Amino acid sequence: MYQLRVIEPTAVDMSIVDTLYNGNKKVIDENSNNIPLGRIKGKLSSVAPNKLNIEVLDGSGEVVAYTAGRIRKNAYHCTTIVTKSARVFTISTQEPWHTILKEQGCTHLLAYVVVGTPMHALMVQSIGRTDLYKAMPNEATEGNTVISLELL
Amino acid sequence: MSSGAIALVGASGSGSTNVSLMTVGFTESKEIDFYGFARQPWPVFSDEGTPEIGDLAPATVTVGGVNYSVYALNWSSTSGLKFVVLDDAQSLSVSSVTSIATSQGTYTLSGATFSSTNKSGSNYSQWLLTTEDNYFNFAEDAQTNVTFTAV
Repeated sequence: MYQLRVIEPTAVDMSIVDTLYNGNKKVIDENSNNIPLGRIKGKLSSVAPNKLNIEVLDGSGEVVAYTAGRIRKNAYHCTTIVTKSARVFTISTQEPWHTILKEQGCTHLLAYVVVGTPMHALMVQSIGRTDLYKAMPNEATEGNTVISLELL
Repeated sequence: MSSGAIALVGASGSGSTNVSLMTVGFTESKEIDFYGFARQPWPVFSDEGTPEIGDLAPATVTVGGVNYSVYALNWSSTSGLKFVVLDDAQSLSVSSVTSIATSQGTYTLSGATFSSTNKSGSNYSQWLLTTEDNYFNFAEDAQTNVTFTAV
């Protein structure tokens, strides 16, 4: 249903980011604790060693999500996600995301989340696919934290 | 004659240089990237909870023949360059260190905001330079020479 592909940070289309953000602003703001859009764009577009940006397309070829992060010590440190809807994210991050991260040599996904948000809940529940991801215990009760998920 | 020679060196504005080897540290939060070197009591604050990053050897900058210990030399995506040295006598000024260079570029500190801060009974001199130029943008744990030019 969704096609994921690795893209260069410079290939992120900021007009699409604007569209995705404006269409899903409430959810994105809640999950990010209101990080300004400019900083989200900065995370998406910054060029850095071992940067891994992923573009998600739906069946019609429309871009419906971007993620940004870096691969460090066989783990994908994912700090930034802009998506058309929560459903798009949940579905696209199950098998397709798992597959592409494995292809990149990753053994773990490290999700940078705000405690108490829907994204935090999704990550601690192994993105709803305990056959693919195994969330490690995390004791954080407030603020930002990093959830470690083993790629099974 | 010798004093004239000294005056000539001073007039040239070339300053003195010393070189340290940086092991580039990296850490991040949802919105900020940190690159470079930081140690207590001048940590960085990331979601990873790794306040001390990188290494610098020797962790000193030489000004007027005196070595000052460096506690922070890093760039962040929200604040730019931060450079902090221990300066108990508060003898340094914004122009004491004129530039800091890596193979990726040179920070000129004349435009930096300079301040003196007391932490735990010690005085530190701090240069903050607002810039989007990240000259520490190496892979994590990469090694690079850092050249300090001082008066």
